Amino acid sequence: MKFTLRVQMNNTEGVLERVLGRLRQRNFNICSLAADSSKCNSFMSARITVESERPMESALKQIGKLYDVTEVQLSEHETNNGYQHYEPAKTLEVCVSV
Amino acid sequence: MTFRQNMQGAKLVVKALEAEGVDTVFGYPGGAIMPLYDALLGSRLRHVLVRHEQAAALAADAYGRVTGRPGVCLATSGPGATNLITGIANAAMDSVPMVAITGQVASPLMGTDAFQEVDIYGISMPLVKHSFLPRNVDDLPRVISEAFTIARSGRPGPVLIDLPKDIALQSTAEPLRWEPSRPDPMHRPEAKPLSQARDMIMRSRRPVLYVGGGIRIARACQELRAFANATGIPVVTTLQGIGAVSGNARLNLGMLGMHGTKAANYAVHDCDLLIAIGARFDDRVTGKLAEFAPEAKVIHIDGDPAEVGKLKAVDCSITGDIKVALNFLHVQPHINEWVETCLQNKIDYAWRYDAPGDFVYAPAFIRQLSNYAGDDTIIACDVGQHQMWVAQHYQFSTPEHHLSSGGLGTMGYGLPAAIGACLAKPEARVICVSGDGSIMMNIQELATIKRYSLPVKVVLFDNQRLGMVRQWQELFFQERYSEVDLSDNPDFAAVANAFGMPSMTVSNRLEVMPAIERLINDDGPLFVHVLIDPQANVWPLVPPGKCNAQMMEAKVI
Ligand SMILES: Cc1ncc(C[n+]2csc(CCOP(=O)(O)OP(=O)(O)O)c2C)c(N)n1
Repeated sequence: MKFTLRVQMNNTEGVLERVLGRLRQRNFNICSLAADSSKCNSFMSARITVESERPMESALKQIGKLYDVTEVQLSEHETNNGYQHYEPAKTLEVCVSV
Repeated sequence: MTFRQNMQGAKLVVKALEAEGVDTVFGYPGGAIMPLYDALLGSRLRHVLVRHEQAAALAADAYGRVTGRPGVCLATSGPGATNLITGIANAAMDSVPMVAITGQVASPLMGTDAFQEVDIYGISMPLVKHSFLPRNVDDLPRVISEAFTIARSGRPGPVLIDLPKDIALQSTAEPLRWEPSRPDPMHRPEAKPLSQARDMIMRSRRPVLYVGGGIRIARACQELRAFANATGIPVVTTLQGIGAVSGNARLNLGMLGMHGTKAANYAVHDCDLLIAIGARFDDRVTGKLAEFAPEAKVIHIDGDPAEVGKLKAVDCSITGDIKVALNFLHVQPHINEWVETCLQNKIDYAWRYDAPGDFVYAPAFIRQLSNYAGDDTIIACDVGQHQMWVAQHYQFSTPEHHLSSGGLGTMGYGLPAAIGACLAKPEARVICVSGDGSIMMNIQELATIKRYSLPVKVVLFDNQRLGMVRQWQELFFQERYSEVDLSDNPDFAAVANAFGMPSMTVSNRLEVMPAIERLINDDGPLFVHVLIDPQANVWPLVPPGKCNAQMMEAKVI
């Protein structure tokens, strides 16, 4: 199944690599990516579409655990009949840094 | 606290470590970390010079397990840093707090393939909870305190600080404030799932507590025991959960999983409610996942929300502070009949130590040792059959006294872990239980034991084989033995002597008790070389891919 995450992070050294690496290692294949840092350069946000057999919650929780990730949200996912969009994107309460 | 102006980065790191309450660091010097080694001179930190960086990380891991505070290891850039990796992975897999500090080449040289440059920040990324690459000396106080905070908070784990040499040599321009690390408190579990769990427990007729390493991490033995006693629910433990309830507790059915007891595996197979506490449904525990606790509803209590539902769907999830959760769940379900069944299984399938033959029977040796050693003994295991025999036959009274590389299964853990434990808890008796394969992975650490006059005892079960692999080749590869013969082992007793360690060899059953007496009574180090049957196997065994109720057993001769 394909789904899209919105990730807010502190723009620390290698933070994007951390997020992408965690997704790959947990078997979420990255299909597309757009990322930008804020004007002041202290934050970064990314929109990442991944494909996987693994449950979406697992991706959200695993990314949510990263220390520099401040928020992870689900913005859309595939269903049997097309895409389900969330506006605003959905936050899972369980995404805490531990 | 404030660091004065004009202080060198390296000095600042050492001062911050001292202020964090670190007393011992394990490491090995080299070019890029020389500023830090210079700053160690005259500091309050006790530096333990190991003989391979892997041992520094593994000793720091054991230090972390025993004390609950991050173990600290140091290494230089390049090969020093890569040698730490196995130990960092070991800590990550078993959720052990650790702070690893590596020297890095100077910032202007980074990214130029400089001498001894490796991208350890990148290499370690999938293993660490977090990592830092300070780019400015002024960042150091914050970095150290955050590193300790992260290593200790929530689910603990390793944190890496890659310190470029020029930053270590830079001096602070102005005084810097420093705040000590403050681990984030665990959040309180929500009320709703807690009361749901109470109902589920009350309604259950065949409940089981499935207890993992989370109890050690949360230091929640007392709460777990109170909960088990109040509810009267039988307990099974994972490898990391061993000791969470005392080894000889009435309701303790032993370890579950691949080499678990029959009583434990049957209880989980037949239960109608599985209460997982600080456990993560590892494949060595569950066997065929689809047939693990097939009839049970599941309550999962864990500090890490990402573990809940990762492998097994749960009916009730409780995340946050395990202690608070356990204290709330004191109910009394009506489960007498079930408890009787479990306890009868425990009697019917109790371990037997009357093995035929003349060879020393390792399980019997371990049980005898356990009977005589008392509660103030720490056992540091290596990996293989001997590790499983310790898990099965030694009765632990607390999880911190059982040091075993679970998630990673790192051969070579035993000796460094014994060193780490000995320094973390000098009043304890520390015994490394190893195999003839594993011990050679970090045998050089006998030199560390000698240098610091550590009273570490070693029990080496020598089957002249890579026993665990040999067992699998026998059972699952049609006895096609490939590269498991170690019959040309060195003379281990002589090796020990060469490192200044007294040794003795045990080759028959009559020699077992005298050896155990010396292990208990000798003040200094001792190396006990025990010859065992090369064909000995670990039983019972759940074959790979099979359900836990399908345990293989020894052929009766
Ligand atoms: C570093 C490492 N390499 C390989 C393995 C695979 N392995 C697991 S157990 C084992 C054999 C261990 O032999 P030994 O230490 O003699 O213990 P025994 O099983 O004979 O008790 C091996 C090779 C491992 N766990 N760790």
